[in-house]
Amino acid sequence: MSANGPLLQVSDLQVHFRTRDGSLEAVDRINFEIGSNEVFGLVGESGSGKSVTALSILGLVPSPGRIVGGDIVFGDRNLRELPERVVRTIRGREIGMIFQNPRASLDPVRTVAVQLSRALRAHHDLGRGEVRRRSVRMLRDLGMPDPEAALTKYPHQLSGGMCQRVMVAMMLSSRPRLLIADEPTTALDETVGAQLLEHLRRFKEEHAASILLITHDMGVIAEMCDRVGVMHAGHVVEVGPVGAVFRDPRHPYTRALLDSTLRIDRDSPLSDIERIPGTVPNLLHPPPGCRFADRCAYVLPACRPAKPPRLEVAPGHHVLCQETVIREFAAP
Amino acid sequence: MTRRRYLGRRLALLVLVVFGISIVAFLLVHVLPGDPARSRLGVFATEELVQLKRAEMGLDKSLPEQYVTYMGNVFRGDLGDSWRTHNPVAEDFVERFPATIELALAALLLAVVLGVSLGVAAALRRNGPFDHLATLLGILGISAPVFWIGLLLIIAFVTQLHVLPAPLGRLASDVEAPTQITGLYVVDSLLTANWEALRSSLLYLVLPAVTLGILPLAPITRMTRAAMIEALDSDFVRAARALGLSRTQVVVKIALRNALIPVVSMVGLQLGYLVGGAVLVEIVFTWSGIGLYLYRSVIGLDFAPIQSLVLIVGVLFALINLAVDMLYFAIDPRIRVR
Ligand SMILES: Nc1ncnc2c1ncn2[C@@H]1O[C@H](COP(=O)(O)OP(=O)(O)OP(=O)(O)O)[C@@H](O)[C@H]1O
Ligand code: SF4
Ligand SMILES: [Mg+2]
Repeated sequence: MSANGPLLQVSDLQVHFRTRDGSLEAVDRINFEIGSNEVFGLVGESGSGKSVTALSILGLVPSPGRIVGGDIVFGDRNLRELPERVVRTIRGREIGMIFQNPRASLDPVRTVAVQLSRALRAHHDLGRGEVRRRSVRMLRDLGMPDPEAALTKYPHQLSGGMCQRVMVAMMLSSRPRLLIADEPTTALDETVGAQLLEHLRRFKEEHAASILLITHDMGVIAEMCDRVGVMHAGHVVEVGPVGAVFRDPRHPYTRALLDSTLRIDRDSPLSDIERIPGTVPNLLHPPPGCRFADRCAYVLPACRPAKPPRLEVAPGHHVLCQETVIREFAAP
Repeated sequence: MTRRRYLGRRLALLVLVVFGISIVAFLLVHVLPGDPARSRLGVFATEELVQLKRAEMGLDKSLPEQYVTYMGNVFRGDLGDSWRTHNPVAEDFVERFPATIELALAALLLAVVLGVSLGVAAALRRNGPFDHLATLLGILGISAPVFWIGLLLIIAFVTQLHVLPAPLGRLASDVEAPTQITGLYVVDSLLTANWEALRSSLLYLVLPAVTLGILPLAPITRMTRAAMIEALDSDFVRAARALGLSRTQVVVKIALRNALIPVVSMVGLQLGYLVGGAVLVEIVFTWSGIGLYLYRSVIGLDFAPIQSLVLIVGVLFALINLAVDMLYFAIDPRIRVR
């Protein structure tokens, strides 16, 4: 691995789902990178392509989806060029992923002990005693009450929070260098969610790992992340250090997102993002230009015929928009 | 609910079901067309003679009285006599039952092994060659009657290709039956290392087993395919893949293991049709099991065997259902605690 290069570099990634009505462009030539020992946040409304992006990194895009272009460079290897056999040894061992629905992500007919042992043995030859010792220790570290008893339980006998702990234990068992967490707190109540985030932060510190954190919650981004990417309809429209993006958002969509977060009406069941007026364009036959044009208050004639340029407004801060509009937004 | 309480409830239910079956079996003789007494004496017997015979057979008593007598006999192992074979029905039954078991087991084994493999292959490569084969089999299984498939196979492999023996029984006439242990020729000849009998019994078994097996093959394939597709698309398979588990482990130990749960209940359901199909297959292949016995008894209006077979097959069926339920219980931890 190059000494100072990013841990993960995604360039021009393009993922299409082949459907009866044509190909659905779920992810369209996106770019971002994640440094080592960094927490990178990915926000965007439902259907903007966050999960598909995450699954692309692991090479697990569900059919009929397919990566049709771009590169995913992890360390010094381009994952897209590696054979499945090699990618498999990276999954779980070097890149782990925790999913949104913890209970559904556990095998319903096997005990926790069996599932943890599967995870521990996926990449290492361990004896039974060692597997058991490590399983108990991992569960205890995650704050599982009575870990010994939990080992004998089936997923349906555990609460959502306990299922989440089991899944996190499985995914962290090989101490991956990159952990992808796809809305890890959505299924949990607030306290358990906060505990989980705290644990992820600690894991990152102790093992110098990086995290790709997908969430709807701008508060979580502010609290957890070093850098953030904002996704809209398959495009990463703005990416940069959290401080810069929050203080000085340059893309009209990011701006709307932050505005709506500030006007927070805590009792509203809608997430921050869903309060932005208008709807996401149809990804089946997306307009050739900016996919935010129909909702954008600053739309220009130049926005519609072609994808807007990707401009670097500050070091490491990129925006996908017209230069004149970006300049207008510049902080005084 | 604990395992023991569940089992207790199921057993209580079984007793009720068996009681119901015995009533049906008993009443059957009274609703079937034809008079048992007259059918024994023939059409030329006088009415007085028939009345005498009825009294002798206890048919003039009240129904509850007759039922009690009947069940008393059953519990003593006396199922009445067949006037066609002149043997006690119980003897005839014990003699023929292994043949049917052998046929049904072979058919089931074939259907399960082929159906599950084909279903898995079809699910792994949707719209691939195995998927099309599975669809084709599904159409065949639904639309083609068993006896027609049987006859077709006989024409192809016996009359045309001459690779299999004529459909006349379970063994070539010049081969001696293996020493009886289980009554299943294939098993017995294996156990006694009687290779000649093994070869012959296998040759005779192939076509009837395939014919009978086609019936449950299609639904088992379809169910396996659907359950496998669901399992392969599930969150837990995706998570297992994200862990870097090997493909074999993910497909067999996780996806297939979960997919088998609905497949097992489907197999249980198919056992019923298998019994019905066995009667037809035994007729087509002159396979001397209880299906053929039942058929000949019905044709000859031989009431005692018909009545006993309804009772025995009914009870057997209830027992099989119980066994399938217990199996279901064993493979799905989620129904252990409610
Ligand atoms: N299996 C699939 N078949 C067809 N299209 C799919 C499939 N999975 C995802 N898509 C499409 O890809 C797009 C992106 O989906 P994705 O799941 O990445 O969204 P997301 O940003 O993770 O949303 P959410 O916040 O709801 O999780 C969606 O618009 C969806 O239409
Ligand atoms: S490119 Fe044009 S339409 Fe798109 S966000 Fe910028 S100004 Fe708005
Ligand atoms: Mg998602």
